[in-house]
Amino acid sequence: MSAVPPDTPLPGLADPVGDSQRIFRHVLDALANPGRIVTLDAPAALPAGPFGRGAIGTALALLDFETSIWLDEAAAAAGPHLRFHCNCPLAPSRDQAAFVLIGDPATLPALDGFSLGSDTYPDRSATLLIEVAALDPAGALSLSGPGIRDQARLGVTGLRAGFWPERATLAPLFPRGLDLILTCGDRLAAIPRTTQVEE
Amino acid sequence: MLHSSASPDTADRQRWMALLAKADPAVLEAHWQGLDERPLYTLLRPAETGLVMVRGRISGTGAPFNLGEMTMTRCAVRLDDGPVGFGHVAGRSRRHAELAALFDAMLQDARRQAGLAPLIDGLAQSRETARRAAEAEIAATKVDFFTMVRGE
Repeated sequence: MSAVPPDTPLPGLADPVGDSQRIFRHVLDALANPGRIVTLDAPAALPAGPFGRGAIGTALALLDFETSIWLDEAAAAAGPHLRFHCNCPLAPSRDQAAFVLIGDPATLPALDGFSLGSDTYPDRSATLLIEVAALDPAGALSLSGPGIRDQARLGVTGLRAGFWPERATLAPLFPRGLDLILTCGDRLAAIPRTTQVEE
Repeated sequence: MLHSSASPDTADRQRWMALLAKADPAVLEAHWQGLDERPLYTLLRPAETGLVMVRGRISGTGAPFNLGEMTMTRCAVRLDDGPVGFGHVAGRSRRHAELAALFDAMLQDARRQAGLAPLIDGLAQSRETARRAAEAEIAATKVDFFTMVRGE
């Protein structure tokens, strides 16, 4: 595999139907149990650009021609790969994207610039897939809310300073809001809009 | 069809992709097995069968309408030395789609193109022969209608 041009797509899921269903089940498990770190069983989803198997597998399973995506500069390298396999359109601006892929969480733009949905259609909000430097099941963050008995702990390395307070300012807008899927290599953890995060 | 606006390279590729798609899979398989050096490749999108909507225009100029769906199999491969090839064939032959994609990828490589020219020319020739045979068969049943044309 020498000298492959950067815009050449990589192989997608080996068994598109079976693998997508398996990945979907894992992502569902992560979203239903905020903060739980799930290892994605997707050997066929190859890393692309800054993303590991977790983010690429999730994207290959969830994206299709109806979900527009927005990529930050670091994530742009994965664009041709996802566009080839998912046929997903690139959103003209970041407030119109259904899925946002962030390759460099240190330069994440302001959260209220993404689509938060509307009170009548909160499902039209964006889901952020963020590749972080590390996920730690016993970290500094304390999570509470639906899906969590008492409290859950999670450590996330690589997000820019002030991220969690900024996210907390979106909480009063419920049912509008953003859902986060934090990925690191082949592992991921989800933080839906209903979860309260304290540092 | 947008053949007229396509660049010469695109037009060439359209020609061989069309010939590969309509070729007899057995001919492609035989040629593949007979290659001196078969390239190593990766399946970007393993062959999969689906439906495509065939659209038509009455007399070729009217408003487009949906004629109906047809079964189609597609495949995308990448040769280990670079080129990406696509195969779209009518029907459900996965091997045919894969072979069409492989030959498409190889034909984009200038070094391999010359070696494959006999295959493409052969496909074009057999297609032309088949077309002529069908035309001759139809022509035999042709009825000429004469209409009196009034002199002006």
